[in-house]
Amino acid sequence: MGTVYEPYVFNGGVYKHGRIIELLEDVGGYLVNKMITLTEVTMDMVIPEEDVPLIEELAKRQLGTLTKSPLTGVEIAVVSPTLASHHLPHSACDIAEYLRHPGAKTTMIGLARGMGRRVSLNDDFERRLINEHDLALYCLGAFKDCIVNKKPRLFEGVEVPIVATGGPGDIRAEEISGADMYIGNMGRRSHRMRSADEINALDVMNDRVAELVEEMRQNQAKDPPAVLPARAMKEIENQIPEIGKSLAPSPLVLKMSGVRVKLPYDLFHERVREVEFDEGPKLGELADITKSKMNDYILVQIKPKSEVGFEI
Amino acid sequence: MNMEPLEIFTVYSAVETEAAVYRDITADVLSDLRLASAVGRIRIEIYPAKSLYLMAALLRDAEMPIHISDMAAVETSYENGEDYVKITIDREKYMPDLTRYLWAKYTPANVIQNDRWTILVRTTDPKKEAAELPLQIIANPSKNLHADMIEFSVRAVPEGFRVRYHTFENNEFMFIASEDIIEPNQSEHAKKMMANLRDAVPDPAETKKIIENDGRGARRRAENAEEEH
Repeated sequence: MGTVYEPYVFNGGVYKHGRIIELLEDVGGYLVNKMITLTEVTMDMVIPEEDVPLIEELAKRQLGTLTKSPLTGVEIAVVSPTLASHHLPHSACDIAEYLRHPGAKTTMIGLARGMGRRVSLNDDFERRLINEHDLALYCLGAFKDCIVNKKPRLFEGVEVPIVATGGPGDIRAEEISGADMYIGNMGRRSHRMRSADEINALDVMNDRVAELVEEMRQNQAKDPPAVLPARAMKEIENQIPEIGKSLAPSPLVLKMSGVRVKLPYDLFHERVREVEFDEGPKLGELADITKSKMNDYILVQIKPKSEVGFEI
Repeated sequence: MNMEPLEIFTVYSAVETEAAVYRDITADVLSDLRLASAVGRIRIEIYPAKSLYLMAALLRDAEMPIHISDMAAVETSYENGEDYVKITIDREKYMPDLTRYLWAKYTPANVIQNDRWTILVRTTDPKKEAAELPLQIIANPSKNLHADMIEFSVRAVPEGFRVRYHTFENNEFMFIASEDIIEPNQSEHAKKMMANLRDAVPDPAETKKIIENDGRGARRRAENAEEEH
């Protein structure tokens, strides 16, 4: 049986945080993201399950905290019907920001023609862009009638799991055609979500999204990717040093079934294909490498074990 | 008509919780645009199933034009070997208008603001300018009210209701928005809302209840934001 990895986030001081990274590498874990703000460092990482206590102990010695971050390695599309002031910055930005707390990477997507009841729709480009993510979370409004009867049109063609959020608290997910989950008590706001009720609603959202992700992970475990996406990410980082020069805020984004590489496709896709693992296979043999709909980045979708025939 | 700010503030929708959300949104937008003190009575009705939004608002008597003396004290001052006109700010609300006026008149290079409450103006004849400045009009709130009310309506309306109609006569503002063609009976209904609003007698106890029961005190926040310093 292969190693089981657990996602964690380390928060602590910058001083000697390299020790945590060294230990993480020694035990075979992967650093997903590192962010330094003044004297504080936040590191998202995946750790082999049995070695978590080791890292936990070192984190304690460093006077930092190691907490489970169930959404690390998940890329979520936060979709609002438009980019108008009805959705942004509140509540869509609040939702996206809150989803990042437990480790998720979020992309905010405003549809071009998602507004209204009668005329709302999504287009092919938007559907493809949303489908590049692991999960789509829709920020809908305050009216039950709209959410149940009209807005499901925005879910058409979206193949990833869909979470709908809105104001009414009494809607069941089954009532919304196409949605896998519904989270209430959110919906339209014209102010920052900061009252106790609002923060509570955001906490509930994180918990429920984490439940859905856990379910997705269990399904994925039945036929896992041919190589752990975090490992593919590490190899890309080591073998393509130009990634360090990418100006994107997170040049490599870990997804549940792959990696988004924020380098120009035309210049780098061959090199990504040639990334080699110790066991011999190249990334091109284990993954579909395509041009992303997000700018002209590279999308690495790792094939499942059943398709490749082996797992490394 | 003499009215207290927001003495009647009701939002109707078939589902009460949805109406409450829109009352919050309305209060927030009123606050953002600093309109709470300008609106006396307001009623909004929303019919999501018909894609219809109706608003009737009675505006309070518009504020008088604002002179510099209404918001600041003006005097001459001698600092660092130079004579200046010194403006000490009392009400920060009209600060952007004051700055715009001073920049246009004296150029930005001659308008020195070392701290939040004090502006020094470099000019050839500070005494004369200090005597004249307090009488200058820098803002006319009534002039902007129409534009602000339209901005308010567009921000508060549910998204996608792009067919819009409004009237603004004798301090009465009516706004209808829909996704479809606005029917005559709908505009009649809005007129009826306006008439009811005009004839309504505000209940002080009810107004107080709104303030106390509203969990986040949206109405109170809308009013407080007006005079925030």
